[in-house]
Amino acid sequence: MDDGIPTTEQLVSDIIEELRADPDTDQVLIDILSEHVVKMDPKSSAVADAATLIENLARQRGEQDL
Amino acid sequence: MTAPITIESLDIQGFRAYLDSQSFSFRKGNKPSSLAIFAPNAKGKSSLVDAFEYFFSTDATLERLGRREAQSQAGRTALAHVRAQEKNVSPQVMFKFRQGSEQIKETRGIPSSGGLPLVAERVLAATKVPFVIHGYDLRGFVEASAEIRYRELAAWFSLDPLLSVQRNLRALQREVKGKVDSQSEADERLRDLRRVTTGEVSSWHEPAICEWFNTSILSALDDSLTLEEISETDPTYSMLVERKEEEDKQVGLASMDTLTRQIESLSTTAMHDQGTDDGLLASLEKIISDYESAVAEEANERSKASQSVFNDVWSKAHSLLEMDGHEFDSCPVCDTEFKSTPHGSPHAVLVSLNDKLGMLAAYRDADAKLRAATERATKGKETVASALDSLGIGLSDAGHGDCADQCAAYRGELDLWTLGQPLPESRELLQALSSVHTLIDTARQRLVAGQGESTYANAVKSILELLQIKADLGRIHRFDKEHQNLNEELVRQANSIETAIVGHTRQLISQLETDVNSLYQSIQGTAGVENPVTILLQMSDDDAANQQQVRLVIDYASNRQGVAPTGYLSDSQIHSLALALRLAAIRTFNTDAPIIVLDDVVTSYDADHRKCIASTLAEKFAGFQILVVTHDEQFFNLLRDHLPQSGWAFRRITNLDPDFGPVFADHHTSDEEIDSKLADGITAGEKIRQAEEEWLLKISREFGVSVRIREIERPYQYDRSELAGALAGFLKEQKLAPPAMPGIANSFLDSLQSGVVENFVSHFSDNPYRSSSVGDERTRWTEFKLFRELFVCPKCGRSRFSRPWQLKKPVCRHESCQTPFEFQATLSTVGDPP
Repeated sequence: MDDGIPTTEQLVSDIIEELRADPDTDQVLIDILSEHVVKMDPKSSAVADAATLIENLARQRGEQDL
Repeated sequence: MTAPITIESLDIQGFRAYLDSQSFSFRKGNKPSSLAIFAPNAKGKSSLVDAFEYFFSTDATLERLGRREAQSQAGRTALAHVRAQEKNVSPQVMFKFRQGSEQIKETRGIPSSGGLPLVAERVLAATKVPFVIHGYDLRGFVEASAEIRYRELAAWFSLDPLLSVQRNLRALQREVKGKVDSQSEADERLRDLRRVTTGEVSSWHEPAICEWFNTSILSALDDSLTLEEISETDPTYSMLVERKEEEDKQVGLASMDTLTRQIESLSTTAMHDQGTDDGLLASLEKIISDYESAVAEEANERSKASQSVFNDVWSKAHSLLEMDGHEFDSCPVCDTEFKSTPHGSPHAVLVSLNDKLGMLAAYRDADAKLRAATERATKGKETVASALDSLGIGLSDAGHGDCADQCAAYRGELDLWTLGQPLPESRELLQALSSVHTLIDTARQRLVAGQGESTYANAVKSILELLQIKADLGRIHRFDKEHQNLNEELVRQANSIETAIVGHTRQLISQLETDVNSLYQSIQGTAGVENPVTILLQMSDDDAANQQQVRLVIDYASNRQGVAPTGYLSDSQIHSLALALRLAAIRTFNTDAPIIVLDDVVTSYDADHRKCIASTLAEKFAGFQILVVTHDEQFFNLLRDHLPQSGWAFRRITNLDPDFGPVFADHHTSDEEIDSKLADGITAGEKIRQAEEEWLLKISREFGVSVRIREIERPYQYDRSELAGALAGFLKEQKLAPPAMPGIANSFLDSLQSGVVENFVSHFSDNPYRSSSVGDERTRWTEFKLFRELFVCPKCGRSRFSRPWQLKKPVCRHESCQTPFEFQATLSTVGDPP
């Protein structure tokens, strides 16, 4: 294959890094996505785990808004 | 970069059409080579392709056979040669591969024990695209649905993890959105609001709630008071709390509540509202129980460590014996030999010292625990005593003198009690306290009921509930807002990720598309032609869900752009397109194991297209090892013409011998094989016949004998008698008479012509009913070898001949010899037959 085209693993890593570099990106959320969903070998519970973490994050931020 | 995996050889036995072991080399000199095999139908050529498919099958079968074998004798049962068991042949397929300097050999038996061979796993890991291409299923990819095509491409491009990312991202967005949209928690709190406001207010609108409170609750108590907001800072709320306390005092509720709390703090869990904590009396019982355990443990450890006076001695002896580099035979203090002690060695003494010092450590721990337990027990006793004193005063003031006396009595018992004695029995006191608790509770309820609805206590209670609902709704609102923000950010990030993945996939597919067009033009022979048909692999531009589709279309003409190939291309063109797709994919993705197996892929082509395929393989797949099997002789000959002899072997199957397997034109049955069988007393009749036929064909070819062209049936195989007759006729014509062989009555050539050797028995006896034996075969074999050795160059003794067309007699083939062939007059060099 053309060497200019990244491997699948490299692509996943590049996507995450590019999003992280964006100042508008919610860094905690991208951490959750990269830890659970946007990875080469996600767990079978990846979606449920990520959804719970997002919910907890919303709750935590809601408390901080007081 | 790792070296590519190449095939060295393939050996088959007892598998499909192959009964006896046959070997196929994929190496010429020290380089990988390719192999083209031609055979008419049903001669066993596909068995070679089957060997590849079987070796790399995760199910240990062939796709067309399936896995089921019960009843039908099909499935895996059909993998083994039907006579393998009878002939005691172990069915197996053996491959030798090479990767760099590493040679890997592995055999897969039939049935297969265990999983995929390790080397097969390695090859499959290096090949993204299936490398066995059957002509009959080539069109599948062209005619598949867009989704299936995408899945296949995704597997080739190793996109499965990306598909999983896309799938999970979509599922996550659905899940988060579902939770964001859910109002269940807020709804629950609004139900509470409706309950508190007796159905008057159903949404959080604070002025309306205050209005309800002022009208329904406050006006009955004091119409000068007005609640402005549901807040603890509202002056009216503070006022209501003060009045509630005043009210409690007036009706005696405050003292009742204090007394109730005191009883509950002393009593057991059964009397607590929460039911979670033990009362002080129960806690004391537990503390005393722990204390008793600590006492027992300390006593136990103390007895074990009774020799603690030796602690210092043991410690020093331990240090001494542990010193590195010192081997003591006897005690350094008293000179006692270790071997004469009960322990027997310094090491055993050291182990014993470790035990003893360990016991001392355990004792120290137990002692510390006991001290802590003692302190807790003392403090617990003081706490209970203090609580009993306070409660006694409260009970006495409230008129429960008897119970107060019981408290005082228990307090007295507790004063007298010392650690180590059983704790004074508290059951009677607890019963008395329980009775008083019930009495107070009943009196309290009666008082509250006597107050009616319009009390400050009820007003404060309503406000407290409203405050909790307000706090909860505020928290829920903030959570919802944050959840919504996160959901929006999730959608944004997911879209970015999706876009990147789709862009990557498009890029990969575009790269493949270029190669497919190049190969298609090459196969079709239209390279360089103006406006050729262009093949397009298009991903959908629709929403994310439809992006996992790849349409295969063609630009057929200026007014037929992006049309389905099946509507415009001929059958053979579709076949070419399918072949181009598979070959392009293999060329793109299988560089780590450049292997291709082409099984009858030219069925629907004319001569020009066959030539184009041969050229394409030569020009575009020079770095690949290819096995081509075909029943198309013209294609086979074209391959011979176009492909470099240095990197290719070309073999023809001439016959399928049910007792042997496919017989190749260049097949040579070795003398050693037959000698070995005969030496072992195993019948070699079939092999002897085969060796005779092979030699007959060779000598007939080299002598240039004339064979009459046969009728169309059986065009690929000469009969032994026909060759023997032709050879005999030629020798006679050239006046080349074989010398008589000592001890043998009949002429060997005559026997071949008359066919009597078809039954070895008849060769030696006129009795047609006599059965054959290994001895007969051994005799026949010796006789044949003697006869064969007559055909040597009279000058140099070599056995290869040729007969250029202008010569009548064959000549020695060796360039420096070329002596005309003559039989030698005697058989002196041959020796006598046994």
